[in-house]
Amino acid sequence: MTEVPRTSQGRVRPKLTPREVKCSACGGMLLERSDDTRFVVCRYCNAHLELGQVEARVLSKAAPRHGFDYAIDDAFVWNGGRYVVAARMVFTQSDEDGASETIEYLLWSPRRGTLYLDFDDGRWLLSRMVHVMPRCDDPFALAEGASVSTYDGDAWTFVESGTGTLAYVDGSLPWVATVGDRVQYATFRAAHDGHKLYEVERDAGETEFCEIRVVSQAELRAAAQTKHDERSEPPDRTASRGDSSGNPSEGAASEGERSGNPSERVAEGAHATTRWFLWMALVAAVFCLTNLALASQAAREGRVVLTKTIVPGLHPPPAVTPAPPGAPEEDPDDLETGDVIDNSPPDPEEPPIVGGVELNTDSFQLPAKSLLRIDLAAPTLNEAWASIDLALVYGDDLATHILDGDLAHYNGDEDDPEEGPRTDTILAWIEQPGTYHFLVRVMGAKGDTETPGDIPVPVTITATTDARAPSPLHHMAIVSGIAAAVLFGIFLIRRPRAKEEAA
Amino acid sequence: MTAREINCPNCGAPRRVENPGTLMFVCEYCGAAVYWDEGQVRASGQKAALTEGFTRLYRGATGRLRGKRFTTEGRVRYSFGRGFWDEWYLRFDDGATAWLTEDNHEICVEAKLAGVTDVAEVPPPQGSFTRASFRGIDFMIEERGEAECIGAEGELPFVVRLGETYRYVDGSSPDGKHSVGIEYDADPPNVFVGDWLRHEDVALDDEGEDWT
Repeated sequence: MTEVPRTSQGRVRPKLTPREVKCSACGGMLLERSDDTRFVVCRYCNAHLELGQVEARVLSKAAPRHGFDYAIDDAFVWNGGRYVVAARMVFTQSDEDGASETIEYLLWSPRRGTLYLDFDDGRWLLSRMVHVMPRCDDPFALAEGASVSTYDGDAWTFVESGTGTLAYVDGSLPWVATVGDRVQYATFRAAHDGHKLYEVERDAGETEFCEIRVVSQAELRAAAQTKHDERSEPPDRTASRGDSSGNPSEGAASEGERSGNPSERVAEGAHATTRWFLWMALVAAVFCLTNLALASQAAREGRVVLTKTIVPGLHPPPAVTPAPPGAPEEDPDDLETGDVIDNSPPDPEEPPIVGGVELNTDSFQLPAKSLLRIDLAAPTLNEAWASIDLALVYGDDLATHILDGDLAHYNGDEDDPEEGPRTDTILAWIEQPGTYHFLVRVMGAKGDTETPGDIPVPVTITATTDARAPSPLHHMAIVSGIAAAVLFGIFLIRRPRAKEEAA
Repeated sequence: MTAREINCPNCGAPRRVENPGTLMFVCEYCGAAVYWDEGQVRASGQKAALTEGFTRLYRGATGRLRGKRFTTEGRVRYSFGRGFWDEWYLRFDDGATAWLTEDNHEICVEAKLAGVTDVAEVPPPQGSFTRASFRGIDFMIEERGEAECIGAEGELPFVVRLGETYRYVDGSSPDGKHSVGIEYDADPPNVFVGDWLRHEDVALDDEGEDWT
């Protein structure tokens, strides 16, 4: 024995390490689930084994049975505790209505004990042992409909009594089970709750009491922790159950093969992991797409303070003539310019600015320390260009920003059918709150002439305040888009292959 | 009484026994069952080791039982033929001790009734529940059988010998709150009475996150 280290709060819990048991019939190695395990059905040869301290003794052999909804080791979570299917049992009952059977899954947890999940008479039932007893001398000898109370004060109606006979068992149990074992039972229904049952069971030397409740499909779905796609939906037992004479159909989940040899289970685990990752990839792709949409939405955020469409010909351009040599440079609008205005002399190589449209827009209010986004758009621009010079004017005559945007759109050749933007976006940081307007000068030309004239098509200026800086949003959108495409691609490519491999 | 520093008479491993009520322990290194006999520490010659990890409680586990801090000192495992149950020996921080029975992870805490001398043989059920009454509490018998001690670990307040057998009867109060155990290993039989515990009545410092 090796001592396990202690912590400040006592000894560390020893690891749960199932021991291996060799099947005496076929030599297959089985894992003993618990040191309480007294009985194991070999998953390879279906031999029924009684486990002793040293070796396993073969009690009998039985034919495997298929058609169970849950496999050995399938997991459930009830009330925050994890349970696995440790054993599956089929009990047959004979009464005046004929033969019927109950499928019972023993759900085991090394920390919380045992629950029983039964499929009986078209219902899923979850039961646990209690010690509350009925106020009657013999619960197995009551007449149908008899009223009985239990010592905790609950009222019950007697439903039926009978004897169940164990017809099939697999998995492992903390007691030795033998096909043909008989259990006497008496079932009661709660007087005021049709979903609550109570049962007294008696076999040789022991009487047990169960509190039972009907489990809905939704509860079962929530509790089942299986990773198998084919069983992600809870079983519709009424559709898959065979006849009531103990000959179930194969229509339900076929699990016998799944729980075959260890290598199959490892492969199955690998496939389950692959499927899980693929689904996670799909989920991540959806998240990325959502992120992309949100980034796009955020990029459009803000409050529109101005929309102005400038139409060609409505504003006759002032006659602009080149200034005579030596004449003092003059600001035609007597703008009181800010620091950002370029006062350098005009480039003599540049053609003189002639034509175009110049106008003042309506005023609008801008808050302090905000980003102003100016969108320029000429959607019908074709084989032409347009240039927009903007002065953002604070109050009457203080130009705080001198901005410009260029639009051009030309039809190219076959390799590059279109070029040039029909839209442009300009940003301006506003420090001072107050009333602003634009002094706008637009000009353009059709064809590829550089000589400006009137704008060839309408140009719309939209100013939006409280805008978001587009650069990080664009990066986010681009990354999200790429990630979504890659993940979705992985899902589409890998999923059929994973299905094939699993098959 | 102060803690006792002793060495396992089988393998020589040192051991510190703090509980003055300890009359037997199982060596953590060699699994030998060691007991005190007229002041001498002796090895019983039996290996009493038990596998660990499958029970909710475990040797050395600390926690609270209904708010009272305890340390799990030892365990005795009994077989009833078709299965097992464990008796955990708890020592509380105030020095009190108790036995906690874990049967298929159902837990009850019991204490021995002193001075019970009139325990009649419990008859087998014949179509109805068999009743018994101790200290004003009515009990109904749920189970009877023969127990065999098949292992022990940690420190215990009495000497158990592997293979010892005795007859027992277990029951509960009809409201499901109290438990009773009658052990026919002495004359008169020993009677233990206690309470069934809910899972949340016992809070361990290390519950084992793998299964919670």
